[in-house]
Amino acid sequence: MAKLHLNFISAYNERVEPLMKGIVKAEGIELTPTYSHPSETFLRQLRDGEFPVGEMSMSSYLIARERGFDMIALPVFPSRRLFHTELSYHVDSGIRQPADIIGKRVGVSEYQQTAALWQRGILDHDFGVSQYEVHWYMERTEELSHGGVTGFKPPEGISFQRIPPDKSLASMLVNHELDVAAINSPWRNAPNQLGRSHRITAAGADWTKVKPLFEDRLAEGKRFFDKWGFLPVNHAYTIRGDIYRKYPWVAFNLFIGFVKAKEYFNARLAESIPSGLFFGKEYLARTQALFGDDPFPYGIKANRKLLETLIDFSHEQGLIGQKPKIEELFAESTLEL
Amino acid sequence: MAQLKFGEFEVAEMSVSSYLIARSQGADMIALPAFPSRRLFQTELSYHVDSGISGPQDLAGKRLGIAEYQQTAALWIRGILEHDFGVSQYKIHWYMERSEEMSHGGATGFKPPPGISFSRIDPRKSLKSTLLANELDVAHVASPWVLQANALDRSSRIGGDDWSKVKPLFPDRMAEGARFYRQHGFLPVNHAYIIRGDIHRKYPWLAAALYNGFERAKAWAQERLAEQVPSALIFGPEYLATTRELVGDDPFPFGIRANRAMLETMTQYSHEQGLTPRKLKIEELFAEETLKT
Repeated sequence: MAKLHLNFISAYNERVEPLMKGIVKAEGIELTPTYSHPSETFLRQLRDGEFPVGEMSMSSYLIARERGFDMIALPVFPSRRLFHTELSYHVDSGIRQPADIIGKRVGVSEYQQTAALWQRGILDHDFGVSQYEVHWYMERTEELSHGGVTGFKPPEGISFQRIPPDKSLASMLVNHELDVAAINSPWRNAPNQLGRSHRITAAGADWTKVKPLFEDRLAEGKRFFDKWGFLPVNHAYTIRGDIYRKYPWVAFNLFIGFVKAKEYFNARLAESIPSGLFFGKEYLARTQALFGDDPFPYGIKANRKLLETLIDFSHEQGLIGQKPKIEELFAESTLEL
Repeated sequence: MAQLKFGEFEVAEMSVSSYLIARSQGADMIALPAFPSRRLFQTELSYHVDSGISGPQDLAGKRLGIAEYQQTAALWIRGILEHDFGVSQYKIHWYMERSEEMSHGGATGFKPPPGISFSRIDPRKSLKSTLLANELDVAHVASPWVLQANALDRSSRIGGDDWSKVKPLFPDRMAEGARFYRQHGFLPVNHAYIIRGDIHRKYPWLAAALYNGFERAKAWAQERLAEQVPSALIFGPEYLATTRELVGDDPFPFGIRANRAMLETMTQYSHEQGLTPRKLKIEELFAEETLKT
């Protein structure tokens, strides 16, 4: 019998790649992959629902679901990063440590993006920097942003401005028109249609004046993980509502496919480290000593604390009006996984 | 091996140690100074805890297993043990896994150099099985802590998995890597690329064209190295920075100038280990068109 054919949009991700390449299969499903920059994926998925299955911003998903968007998530979290440790500051800002960000100008690609949600939440909860005492600058325009599609308005009491269209996060940080942003060089951002920092790079400017907010990212990563017990997630995968209702079995089958793809990659992780690192095994051992053998757990059970924190942050940041139950957010057949 | 025996390919990757031997015997091929792989081979050695060894200086009188006596990894291991740790190759009992038929030495007419204690590992056994059983004291073999080394050969089939009595000879590979690099100024190479003699004579322009291609390919990969690091390491940029601190910004230099010290060391080791009858000259080993690189 013919398999169900589904178009599938996602960024390249090492632990999803075996599924996109067809090395592992989701039972009963034939996926046709489209590789795409996440910012473009989310715009297309939120605005037009172009793909029956695709990667989705967790923060925008919470907002979209509250506003009735018709999609359902799988508890599959392909990417995790220590987003707050990706912040850099301009040395003329007077900032020396995270607490000094109070009263400063912080640039973000998009106010509601998950990276910014984590940055605000962690600065607030772990470093005493209230989001209401920071001046926020957003790079993406209303037309080309996820917030443009989900009806974003700056939350009440937030100091919010847009970066002028002839400037970028990169140019404003290096020229000290911003004090802080998650960018540390003119080449930091991969090209995409929504951002400007790869086009307006200020490549000739003095990037030695831009320094990482956390000088020792490993130490900060350890502190964060020891306190919170997880690494922050930014994306999940969603199934469009019409497909999910017509083929409810797709959710479980896809979930298992994602799990198998991750296992396939994990078994080959050590050998996938470029030989140019020389000490790949040693580095892997360091990471595992900090975060355990599987810092990328899938499923609800292993991610309950993380999901509760995401929902809490989203709610206290005024991005959603009501806290949803975790059970409403994920396909029913995956709730026990 | 097939390349040494049959010259099947016009252009091919080649073991540098076997190349030196083959050239000293008149083989018709010429090398390009493009060295695609470098490793700290001595740090890939493991020892059995019942051997009485506690460090590399204790290897005199012990049984050391390698995949192939003349392979470049073994050349480096012998040379570094001798020059950096004072362990003479004549005081070690060498055990080789590959059979004569399925070895590079079989193709280049390998005979154990005079004065060397040399045995072959029983064909029903492997480097791994003999190390785990302490029928060897030390071996260069893939282990839970060394990904590379010789993943092929018989150890992938014959062995077992109880590594509890085996330890890495250098428990801190990064420290030993940094020590080696500080002292020698390079990281050991095992392979180069060669052009078959008939092709080189027919198309003398090919050597420079290929060499430039290898240089450009490397630059392309170097630029993308950071993004090739799996995100699962979480701290890819930091780890890459650590590697650069330990072994420099370009641990894979191509060309003669940047590799002269390393090539002098290799030709020296090869000669003093009795693999080549004289110390070969760099100028005779590489295509003339690449000597100024």
